Amino acid sequence: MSAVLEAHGLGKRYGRTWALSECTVSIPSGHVVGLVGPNGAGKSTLLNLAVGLLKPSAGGLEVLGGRPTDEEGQLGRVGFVAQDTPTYTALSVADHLQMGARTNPNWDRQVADARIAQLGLDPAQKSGKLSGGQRAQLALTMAVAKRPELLLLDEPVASLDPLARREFLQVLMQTVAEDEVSVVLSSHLMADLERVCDYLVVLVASRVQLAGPVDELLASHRRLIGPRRDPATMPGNQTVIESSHTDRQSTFMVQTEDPVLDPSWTVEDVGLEDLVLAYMGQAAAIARQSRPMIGLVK
Amino acid sequence: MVAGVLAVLGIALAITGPSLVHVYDTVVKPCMAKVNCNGAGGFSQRDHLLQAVSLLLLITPALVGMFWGAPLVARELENNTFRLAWTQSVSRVRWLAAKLGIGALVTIMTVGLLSLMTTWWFSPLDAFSNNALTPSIFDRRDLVPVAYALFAFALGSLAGLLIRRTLPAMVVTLFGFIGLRYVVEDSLRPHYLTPLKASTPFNPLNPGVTQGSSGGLQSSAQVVSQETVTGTGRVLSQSGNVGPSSGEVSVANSGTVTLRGVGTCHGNVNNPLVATGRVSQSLQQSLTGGPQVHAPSNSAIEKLNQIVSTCAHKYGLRDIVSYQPLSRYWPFQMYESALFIAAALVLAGFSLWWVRRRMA
Repeated sequence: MSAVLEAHGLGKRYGRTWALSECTVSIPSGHVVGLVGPNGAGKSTLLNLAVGLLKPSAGGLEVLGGRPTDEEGQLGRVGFVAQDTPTYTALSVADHLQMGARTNPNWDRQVADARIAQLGLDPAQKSGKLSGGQRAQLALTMAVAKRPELLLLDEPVASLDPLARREFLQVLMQTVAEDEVSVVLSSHLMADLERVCDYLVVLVASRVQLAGPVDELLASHRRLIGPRRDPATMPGNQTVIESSHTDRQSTFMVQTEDPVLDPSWTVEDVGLEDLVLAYMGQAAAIARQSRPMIGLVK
Repeated sequence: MVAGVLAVLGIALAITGPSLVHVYDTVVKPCMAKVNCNGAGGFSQRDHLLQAVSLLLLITPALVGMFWGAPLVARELENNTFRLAWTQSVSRVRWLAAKLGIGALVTIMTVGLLSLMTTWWFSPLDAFSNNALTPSIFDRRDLVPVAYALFAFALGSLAGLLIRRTLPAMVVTLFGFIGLRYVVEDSLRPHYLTPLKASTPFNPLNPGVTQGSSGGLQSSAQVVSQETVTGTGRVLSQSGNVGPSSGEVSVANSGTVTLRGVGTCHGNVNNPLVATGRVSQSLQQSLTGGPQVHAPSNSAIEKLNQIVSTCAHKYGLRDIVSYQPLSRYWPFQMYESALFIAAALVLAGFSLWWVRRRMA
């Protein structure tokens, strides 16, 4: 399977702070990929690098096999919906479509017009007067109508209300079903991604904590509940991701390829949200341990 | 909106313009035929209107830079719409080149039209004042306002690109524009072509005044510099400040004239200010409005002038004036326009380079 996005040791620095560092990730084509992570993990930076709005300070990045540059051929292959879906407030919906038609050789006027009609947007409406959800739909329409091979969406629904969010994601799903387009969608809200993504990349502090098809991830993780037990005594084919204990009882989330046969455990399936939270929690714990002690005098 | 403003202005100028022509034809022209004409009165009744229109031409280029140039890119960066624009299938260089090109075209058309209208409107007055090389006229007619506006536009868009915020970019544009305008007007423009030189007799009554009835030079010429030299060619001072106002010339009560650094002339006539019983220590005070008890009479000043002139003549004092003749008006308009347009192109080129190489 070819990769739509392949980063190797990728880093982006602003002054002395690194927004993204040592990021190595490979995202396969033909998926709707959820890029999840806490705020500040570098999701937005990664996507902006992928579309050429930023230049890497370190490492390498290939998108659809090419270097993301300000070069027209490459620009035409990638559709992008930026965070908070900026549009020109003084321009109308029709003006935006006109701009899209003039600046994209593959622009699909029929698709654009049909989507605007389907969404019930008035073409004469100024985009400044649109609701957040409508604005996001307009931005998505522009990204889709340029007929990209890869669609990157940077937190497109973060500022939308739940209803607008669901509508946006429905339209997105419809698009993916109609076109053969790969999608990478970043969010810090699992609930959004759970509905649409079939592949997941969890990014914490620039590092990929977890990546894989959603069904495989769900199949290979289990929650085990049973009598209190030291995590170190777990069998070798079960990797403990998260553990919590009461006086008498232990709860583990484990990653394992094999069935759990120990009868002392109650075995439960895990939801995607719990799974992601467990990995984020693990990463945060490691980060806490490795953080240098400041001001500690011995 | 801009078109509306221009239209309103055009109508206003069209209404008031003919009345200026009328004043010119009925009052000024007959007056100019006479020897001593103070015919500007016909125009000065419209002083406020004249100043307002003149001011409009002065500030329009700066406004273009601040309100069209500075927000051109900065507002996209502020509102994040650059993320939308730069992710279409057009490179940023083309995107910026298109924006700059369209902006420049609109600037040329609007400012050009404005300049055309006001140049026409001012033509009777300009014909009367006949000194189009004066900065307050030269800067606000014909070609140069358009070139200024193009430069301001390019400067504004570059400032917006580098600073990434509209308001500071506007401020930088304003000061940068004023700065270059000042440097060019003050230091470069007088030397576009080598100034001509004219020699006029030293004029003690109006030191430094070399034009018009009291000097030898035509009033249409634009003086670049002047110096006072002695008969032996020694330069006494730059910019003509040898004279009473600098204390270089003094007349004693006995009538003895002292040209400091040159020599003295013993007169056989007493200082007329003393003779008339009006006390004044020196010519300086009586002529420059310094501390004095009584205003001297005109005949006394005339007499004093003769005493000093005679002395100046004895030592061969002359004013050498470097000037630009009015006939150079069009070449100068061309040079100045070319200079500002070239500067605009350099800035625009840098903007394009920056947006391609450095923006990320």
